[in-house]
Formats: sequence, structure tokens, C-alpha cells
Amino acid sequence: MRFLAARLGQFVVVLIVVSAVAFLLLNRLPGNPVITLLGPAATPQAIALLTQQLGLDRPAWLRYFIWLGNALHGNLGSSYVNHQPVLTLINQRLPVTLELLLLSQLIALALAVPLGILSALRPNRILDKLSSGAAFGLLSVPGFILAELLVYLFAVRFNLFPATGYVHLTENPLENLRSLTLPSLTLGLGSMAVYMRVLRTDMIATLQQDFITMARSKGLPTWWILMRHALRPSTFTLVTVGGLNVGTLIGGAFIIEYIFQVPGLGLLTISSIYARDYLVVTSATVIVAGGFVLVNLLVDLFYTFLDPRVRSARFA
Amino acid sequence: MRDSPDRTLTEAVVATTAPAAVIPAGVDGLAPAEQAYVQRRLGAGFWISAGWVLLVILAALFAGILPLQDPTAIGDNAPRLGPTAGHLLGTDELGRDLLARVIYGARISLIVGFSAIAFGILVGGGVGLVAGFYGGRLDAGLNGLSTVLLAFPALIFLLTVVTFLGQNLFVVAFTLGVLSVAPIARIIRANTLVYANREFVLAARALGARNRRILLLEIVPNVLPAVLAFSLVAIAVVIVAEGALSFLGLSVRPPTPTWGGMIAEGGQVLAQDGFVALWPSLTMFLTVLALNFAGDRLQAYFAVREGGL
Repeated sequence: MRFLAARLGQFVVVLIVVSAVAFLLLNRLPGNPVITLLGPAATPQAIALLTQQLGLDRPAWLRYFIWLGNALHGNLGSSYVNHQPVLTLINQRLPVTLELLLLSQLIALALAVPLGILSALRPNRILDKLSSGAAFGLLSVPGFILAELLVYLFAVRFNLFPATGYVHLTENPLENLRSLTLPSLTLGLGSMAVYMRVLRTDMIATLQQDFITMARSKGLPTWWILMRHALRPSTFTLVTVGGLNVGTLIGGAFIIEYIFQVPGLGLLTISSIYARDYLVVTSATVIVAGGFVLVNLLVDLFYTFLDPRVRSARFA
Repeated sequence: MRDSPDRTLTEAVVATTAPAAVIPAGVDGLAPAEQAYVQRRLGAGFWISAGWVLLVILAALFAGILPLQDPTAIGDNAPRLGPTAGHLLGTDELGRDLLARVIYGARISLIVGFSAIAFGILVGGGVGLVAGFYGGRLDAGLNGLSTVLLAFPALIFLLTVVTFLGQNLFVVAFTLGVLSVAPIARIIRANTLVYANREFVLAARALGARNRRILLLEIVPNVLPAVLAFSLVAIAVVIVAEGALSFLGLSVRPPTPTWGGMIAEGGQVLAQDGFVALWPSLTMFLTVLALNFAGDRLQAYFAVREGGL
């Protein structure tokens, strides 16, 4: 339990530092939301008035503590630009990004796990060489190039999926999946290559252990040994890398959302950066960083499920 | 198991779009069974990759002397010509020669990639060496700092700083360099730890060598090969990150050609002419692939040499 408490403490510290850095960084930089709102032709009086109304005349550190105090009460402030509460904006956008991330990871795992297992079963044979080569190549394709390739193939050449646009899940579930197919495929293929490589490596090591020989000598079928005996102990690195991948994935999701015009957190953040909408950007940054740290905390807890020995060592 | 340099590729790859989101993951590139098969040779693939990278570097370096058209001249040629004898790769929507644009675009990618990683290795390398060698509180403090830095969403940092400080070569390269410091420091720290307590360090100390001498003459030469191999992969990561920035229109401003910007322009006319997006995409892919492959081979090569000692 002390482990958990320490990690939660770390979580809180990281969130506070990240939010402070984001907030102060944004405020240090030239330009501000008043100019965005009033345009370049505004009179000095109007600028001064609006600056005062928005509370921007107070020093940045003071505004940060006010924001932090409100945030602790669940109020992330309002957008300077359209006055909507930041929490409402995030509530609208976050589920879209989460759906995109979830779909991409489902695609990645659905491809990586079977390919990784089969490659490990016969290392250095044809399937292994092909899939390893493909994974290495795929890792060198930037997401935005992959996105254009998929758009060209599936939207321009064969009109199977829409290139841009987003249909909300509650409107039409089927169209929703269709509109997210290309974005999540783009994102998922990148993760797939990473996952396949690490699973394959771990699996090769596992398959050489004595308990696998034992299972084989008992005459168990190969697929049973692979699924029931070998898979679970081979997923340590996969889970770790999956957790670390979240940071990359979110960065990738932002760009993918921009390319496919999916109205998620990424598109909101990018447009808020342009508009100097400090509070929206700060809140989005905190959510992304928090998600990253939280997922990695969960990954650490998940080890105890994967390997009971970790549990006894840690909770003894 | 030894903290092997093999794992750096996986980490770098994890960071494809966000160079800062890397923490050593404890991934070995090869399973034990395979390590026996690794040969003490770099292989043809390495030399082909190195050759391609060299070709791109030379082309970018001598772009001014090469018989190329002005990459920014609008309206000299017919738009979207497709590959012809006069224009080997064809022309874009505005009639600009695509070969010239791809070669001039390489300048931005290479300058940003190499200078950002040079900065990252100088600063992050120094921090990692000191943290790994001295350990203790200093190490713990630096470790905490890098945890925070790695949790900070790299893309938001990048977009914000570049948007506000200005879209020019220096800001882009410097920002990406800053983002690369924490992951590079972690990797160099891990590599330093491997050597900090080895016998030859003890021997040097017994002979009366001071810490600074040990760091520079005993540790650095041993850490350097792994860093060299890793830096190739890291340069690829930065080139992809710069590509993403220029794809979003946030890197060096037009009309200066950039690969990411060209790919974005090509994306607009994908239905009419796929070539406009194809050439910069292909060049970028091959360059990133070559850097990754060469880095991967070098890592395996140095790992074997190390094991043979």
C-alpha cells in the first residue's frame, strides 16, 4: 500500500508542476486572448477594458493559483474566447479522442498479438522475416504520411471510407465507426509495429523455458500452450511499452485529428493554441499529462496481475 | 541482464511523434537465443542505408551548385506535369519543380535533425553522465525533473513554443533539441551506470585519477559507441517531428520548401495527382528508414564488440 500511496503522491506532484509550467509558459509568450477577441484594430481603451474584465491584468502567478484553487473544486474556468466552461468543452471533446485511442489500440492488438505469437513460434522463418521487416518499415512511416496513403487508397481510389468528417456515436453508430476507421487505422498501425516487435522478443524467450518443454512433453496442443502458458508471462514488456506509448499516441492522435478533422481534444487544443486561450490549453495539457501518468500507474498495478510474484514482493 | 544499448531503438520508436515521451523500457532488441547468431559485421543493408543518408546530405549541401530549378519560382512550368525528362519528378500545383523542392526541403530536415540532436547530446549527455556517475541526491533530483519533463505533452509544448516564438529554423531546431534532452539524458545515464562500477574505473581510481579524468577518459569512450548508434535513430525521430510540424504549417514558413509542407500540399491534390505527395513522402520515408536501420545495425554491432571484450 505504501507503494500505491507514493505513486499517487507522485501523480499529484506531476500534475501540479505540469499545470504550472503550462500556465506560466503560455503567459510568458507574446500575444494574448484579448487581441484574438478584439482583432488588431482595437483601441487601447477597449483592450484595457477587456483585459480587466477577463482578469488578465493580474500577474500570471496569481491567476495560476486562482485557477488551481478553482480546479481543485472541479472548476477549470471558462474559455476566454467563447466563454464556455472549459469543463464543458473537454466533456464534449475528450470522449471522441478516447474512442479514437481505444479503436486504434484494438486494431493494433488484434494484429500484433497473433503476428507476434506466430513469428515467435518459428523465429527467422518466412512469416517472421516478413512481419519483422514490415514492422521495421512501418515504424519508419510518419503518421501523417500513413494517413495520406490510407486516404489515397481507401477514400480516393476506392471510395470505402470518408477522408474527413466525424459522425457522433449517438447519431449513427455505424457511420461513427466508418468515420473513425481511417484515423484509428493510421494510429493503430504505428502502435501495432511496436507491440509486435516486443511481444515477439519476449515470446521467443518464454518459449525456451522449462515449463514450456514440460507442457509440450505432456502432449498439450501447441495453440493451448501458446495461449494458456506462454502468452501471459510474455506480455510484461508489451504492457510497459503500451503504457509508455500513451504519450506518443496522444501526440499522434492530435495530428491525426487535425488531418481527418475529428473534433477531439487534439483539434480543440490546436485551435486554442492559435487563439491564445490559456485556460483551455492548460487544462488540456493537464489532462493529457495526467492520463499519461495514470496509465503508467495502472501498468505498474497490472504487473501484479500478470505475475503473482510481483504481488508478494510488493505487498508483503 | 546488462543494460544493453539494443533497447534504445524501441524507445526511440515509441517516441516517433513525441521525442520526449521516452523512458527506458527495459526492452532488449534481441532474444537471448538470437544474440548468438549476431554477426560481427554491419552487413550490406547498413552500407546501403548509410549511402542513402550520405546521398541526401550531399544533395542538400550542394543544392546550390546542382543543375536544379529555383524551388520557389512560381509559374515557370505547367502545373502537375508528372515525371518528364525536363522535370524528373514532375511539378506541383504551382508549377514548381518537385526534384528541386525535395532536395531543398532536405536542407531543413537535416539541419533541424542534426542540430537538435547535437544539442540534446551535449546537454542531455552531460546531465546523464553526471547523474549516472555521481548518483545519490543529484541523480534522484535530476530523475524527478526528467519524470516531469517526460510527462509534459511534447506536442503541446512544441506547438505552443513555435506558435508564439516564431516559425523559423532556429526556434524549431532549438525547441526540438530541448525536447530531446530528457530522453537522451536517461539513456546516457543508463549507459553510464553500466560502466561506473567496472574494474577499469576502480583501477583508474586506484592509480589516483580524479573524477573528471575518469569521466572523460574512462567512461565517455565506452558510452560513445552506443550514443552514436542511438543518435542516428534520434535524428530520424526529430526529422519526423519536424515533418509533423511543417505538415501542420508550423515549421519554417513558405515559400521555403519543407518535406512536411510539401506532403500537406500534395494531400490537397491527392485526387488529381498523387505524385506531388508521393515524392516528398517517399524521400522522407527512405531517409527515416535508412537512419533507423543504420542505427539498429550499429547498436547490434557495438553490442557484439562489447560482449567480445
